[in-house]
Formats: sequence, structure tokens, C-alpha cells
Amino acid sequence: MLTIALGLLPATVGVFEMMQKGVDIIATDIPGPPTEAHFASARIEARYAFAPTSGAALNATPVSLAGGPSIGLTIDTGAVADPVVLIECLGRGLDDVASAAATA
Amino acid sequence: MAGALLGRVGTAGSILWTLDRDPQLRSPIAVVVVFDREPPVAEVTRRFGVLCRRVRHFRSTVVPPSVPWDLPRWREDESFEVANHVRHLRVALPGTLRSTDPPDSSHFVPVRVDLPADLPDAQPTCGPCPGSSGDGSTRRPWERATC
Repeated sequence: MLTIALGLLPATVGVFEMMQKGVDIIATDIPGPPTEAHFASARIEARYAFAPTSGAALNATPVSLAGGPSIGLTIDTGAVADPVVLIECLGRGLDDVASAAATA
Repeated sequence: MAGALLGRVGTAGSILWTLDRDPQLRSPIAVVVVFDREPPVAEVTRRFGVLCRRVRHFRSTVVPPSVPWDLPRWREDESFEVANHVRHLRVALPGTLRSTDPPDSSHFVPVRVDLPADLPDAQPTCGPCPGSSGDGSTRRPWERATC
């Protein structure tokens, strides 16, 4: 009954908003099949999921398929002034991580 | 005509539904699938339609509670049309998302997608790929598609 009331309280939105004020990035990992996948006679090369920011500045959602990830970014352009710069930095960061993993 | 009621929304779902009133806290999810070739769009839509008929929650909507202390309910949306939720775009080789909006240099591609709230007024689109004659008749088998 408490959870029912919590879900119906108008203050729920306000509380959630307040919690999200301290969140910059939400990351959601969605593991996919480790092998190739087909749909309607076509092979699926990649899947991108664009998840909600839920009040944060950015949501990054990698979805894997056959061992390779595809990353969907949902960006609050009111919070991120230049999304292209952010995207480039993320790309470089992933390159660094991949290089470090390859040489480890 | 209103569809059948399917039962109450769970407590977690009720909270998310309540949060949906704030545009910043809405929880729409869009998915882009990249295929190696253009699948038959009618067949893609048909398969999603079959799935939505078998899983009723995929085509249900939320009915607000009649009293403030109750939970909202699920109801079958008889006006649900899966074609309004599936769009496709055909692009020329190399056929990646970069073909739709080339970035400077990145692993990522800026793509603008419509939120589900916009979809009821939208129609699926199928346009010619860049460089074609415009009527789609010049489609070549090696051109790829995204859905």
C-alpha cells in the first residue's frame, strides 16, 4: 500500500528530479547474442538503443551483437553545449581503452 | 470503441507513468537496427504486428485511475497500428549510419530521432537513397537499409 501511495504522490516527480540533479551520466549495458542475427532475410549489422536521460545530461547505452558493441547516446543538448566534442572525446577514450586492452 | 481492460499497472510502472508527466523524466526508448541489405519492409512490419498481437501489452495504453488512491490500468489500444512505430531509411554503401549524417571523425554518429510521442502523427517513410533518381526505382541490390 505504501508503494501504491508513493507512485501516486505528486511529490514523487519532485523527489526523482532532485535525485537526478546529481547525476551526469546514466549508462545501461544491454548484452546481445554472441552470434550473428538475422531478421526477415537480412543480417543485422548493428543495433542502437537510445534510452531516456531521465533528467541526466547523457545516457549511454551499448548494445552488443556478435561480440561488437554499438553505443546509442541520448544527449540533453541543454546540458551539453557541444555534443560533437563530447562524442569525439568518448571515441578517443574508447580507442585508448581498446589499445590498452590489446597490449595488456 | 475502447479496448479490453488488462489489469492494473504495477507499482513500478505506476511510478514511471507518474513521472512521464514531466517531459524531462519521460522514458521513451528508440531503437535503430542496421541491416546488411534492405529487408522486405512489409514483412518486417508484419512480423512486428504478429508480435504485438501475441503480446497484448505491446499494443496497450494506460488508463488513469478513477480515484486518486488507485493504480492506473492497462487497456488494449484498438487504434494501435504497428506501421506508425516502424520507420525505415535506405542508404547507399557503405550503408552505415555515417551515410546519413557524416561526422568529422568519430566512432559515433549524431542522429536525430523522433520520440514516441511524435509517432502517432507520423507516417513510415521510404525515400530514395542519395544519388538515385528519386522514385526508388533505381534501387540496387547492394544498397543497404536501416530500419
